Amino acid sequence: MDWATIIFYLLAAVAVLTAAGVVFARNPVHSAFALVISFLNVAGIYVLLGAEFLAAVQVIVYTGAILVLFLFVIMLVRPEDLRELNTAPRVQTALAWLLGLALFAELGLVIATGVLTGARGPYPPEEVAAAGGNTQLIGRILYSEFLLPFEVASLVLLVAVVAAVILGLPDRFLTGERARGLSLSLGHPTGADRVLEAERRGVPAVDAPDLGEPGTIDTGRAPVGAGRGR
Amino acid sequence: MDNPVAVALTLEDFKILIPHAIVLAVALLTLGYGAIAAPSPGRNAALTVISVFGYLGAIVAALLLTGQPRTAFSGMGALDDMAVFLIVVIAASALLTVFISAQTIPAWDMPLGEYYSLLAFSTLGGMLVASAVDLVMIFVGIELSSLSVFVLAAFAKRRRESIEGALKYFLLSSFATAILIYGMAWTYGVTGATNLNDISLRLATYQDRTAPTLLLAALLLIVGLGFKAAAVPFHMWTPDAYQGAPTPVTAFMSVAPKVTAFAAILRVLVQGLGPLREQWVPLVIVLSVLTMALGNLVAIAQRDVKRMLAYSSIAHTGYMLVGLAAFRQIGGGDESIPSVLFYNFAYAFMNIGAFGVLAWLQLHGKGTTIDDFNGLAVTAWPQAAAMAFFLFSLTGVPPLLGFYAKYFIILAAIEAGYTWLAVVVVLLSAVSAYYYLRVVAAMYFGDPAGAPTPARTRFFGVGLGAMVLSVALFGILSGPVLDLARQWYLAL
Repeated sequence: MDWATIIFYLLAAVAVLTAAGVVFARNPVHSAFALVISFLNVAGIYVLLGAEFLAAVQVIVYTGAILVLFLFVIMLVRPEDLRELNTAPRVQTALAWLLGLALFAELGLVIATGVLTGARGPYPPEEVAAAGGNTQLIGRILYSEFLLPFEVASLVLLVAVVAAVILGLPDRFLTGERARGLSLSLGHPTGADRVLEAERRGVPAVDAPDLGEPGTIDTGRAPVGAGRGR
Repeated sequence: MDNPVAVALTLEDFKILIPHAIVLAVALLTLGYGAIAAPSPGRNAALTVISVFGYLGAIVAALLLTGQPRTAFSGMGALDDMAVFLIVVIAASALLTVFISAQTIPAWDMPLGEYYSLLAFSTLGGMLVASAVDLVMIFVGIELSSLSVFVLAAFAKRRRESIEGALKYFLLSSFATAILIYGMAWTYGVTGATNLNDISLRLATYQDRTAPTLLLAALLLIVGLGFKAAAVPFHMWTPDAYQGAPTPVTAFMSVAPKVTAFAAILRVLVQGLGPLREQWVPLVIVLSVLTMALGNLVAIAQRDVKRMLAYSSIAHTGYMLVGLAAFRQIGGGDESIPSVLFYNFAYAFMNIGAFGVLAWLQLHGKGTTIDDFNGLAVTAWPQAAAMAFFLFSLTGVPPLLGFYAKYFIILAAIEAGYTWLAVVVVLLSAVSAYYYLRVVAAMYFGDPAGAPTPARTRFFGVGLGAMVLSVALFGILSGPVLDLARQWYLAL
């Protein structure tokens, strides 16, 4: 057994074990950290397969961005709201096991028999090697052949940003009489409209009480992070 | 370096993107101007003018670029004549939506600049799908189109139903997207190509077209696209999303994303998986029958006209699928795809029109239940007449646009040997007459229940008038339009 095989089994074992940990951990923060380790090990497997670019993307996008986002969400949600975790109905658990095992058997069958064969893609290993590695080749293809979808993907991201602003901002900033844009203080934990409202009334913004006036401020819900020492 | 990828990107390539560029400009201008300028009637008028002329410009630009099929961007996009037809339909539906939104959206305290911007982004996504000849391009186009519509559906964010409907739409649609891209991955795995023409060429050489991998790929693609087109049994998001969204948005999302989905279906199933016709046609037949039956039968039970129109839009997806099921081969002697194209065209005018009258009623202090239509012929006869007109057209009463749309679909089905399917279309159209004409009966024979409160809606009226005229005029001109659809489809 050569080194590459040993490393592969090591990475694979840790990836599978931590993946199981994600599901079985009772504390969501533990789940998230187990997922980090699982992702890192999968990235290692990508390196072994000669897909360095995919490995880097895996670390940057999944481990870096998405998981940090997960952790933020988990930490911002009050722990009381998470008590129901891992208490799914019995039927659902049974069904999940059943479907999971069926998928596992399916995949095992496919790998064991090797019945599924596809056509050769336009970029076989020789071509990748000739281009100097898959990072180089992906870079070249992305900015030449796939230029148009690449640019459209940037528009999709633009729409996502616009969407977040529209759905997240208080109504007053989108339709109100006040000139908008420059006076936003998005860094403030209680939201910009609370600050402005507080300034108008001469109340210190940070500890601004609920200011009432339904229709201008959503008072039905305590702002995220309020009332908890951190 | 040592092995450069040979790609020639010339100015000629960008020519196919002129209509798209105009709509992109509309999206960015309305977004920027709407954010900078303080809300005022003048600003809103300027935003509306930008949108109206933008869409008109895109339609004219697309029409000027017909007759010279060219692919560009290394085979990612093509502005063939079928693309032009679909681009015109999608841009026209956005244009009509602007007419019914211009006074409604500000009246409901929603930000008009962002609204127009998202409308334009969604339109752009649809136009990109229409002119895509690559699975990757179709995917990003569909995502651009639907992501914008999710936000539009949640635009009345103070209303619970709006958020709820949008969230259901978002979650189920993400699910469908996952299935769609899984199908694309299988297609790529089996054929080794993402370009639809390449896929078609390679499939044509396959001996065994019932290989499980191929069938799985086709199945996943149909399921994913069926979700986007709201075909039964993948329609679950439709009624809630349509009912929750602000009515002008509902008008748009009942047409543009559906046309986008059909553009993708035509590209993927016909242009790409055309050689697998015998495998996917039975599936499409089953979907079409289920869709027509459920859409029409459930619509009967609805008291809320908005929800009724949501179910009726599901039924119309079914009729379009019948046209698709009649597909034989690319090229001459086949009426199926032209009939689908024509149906999309007809559906845009009459459906946005019906939702438009609904929005008009809401703007004048009424609700959307059938009781709100009682005696409308007395209190507001032009709107009542327009609504009756659109509903007759949706039912398929000659000589309106909707009649010819159904007629061509039925003709295509009979020609392809599916006479029983044509009979189902006719029977279920008769069923649809019940719920459509019930609204007409309420308007003309119901007791007036208080006049609509006045509001300034001249621009709105112009839009409704234009739609009434279109439904009548294109009904009369249905022959030439269908010829155009046939001729442009043949140029594929």
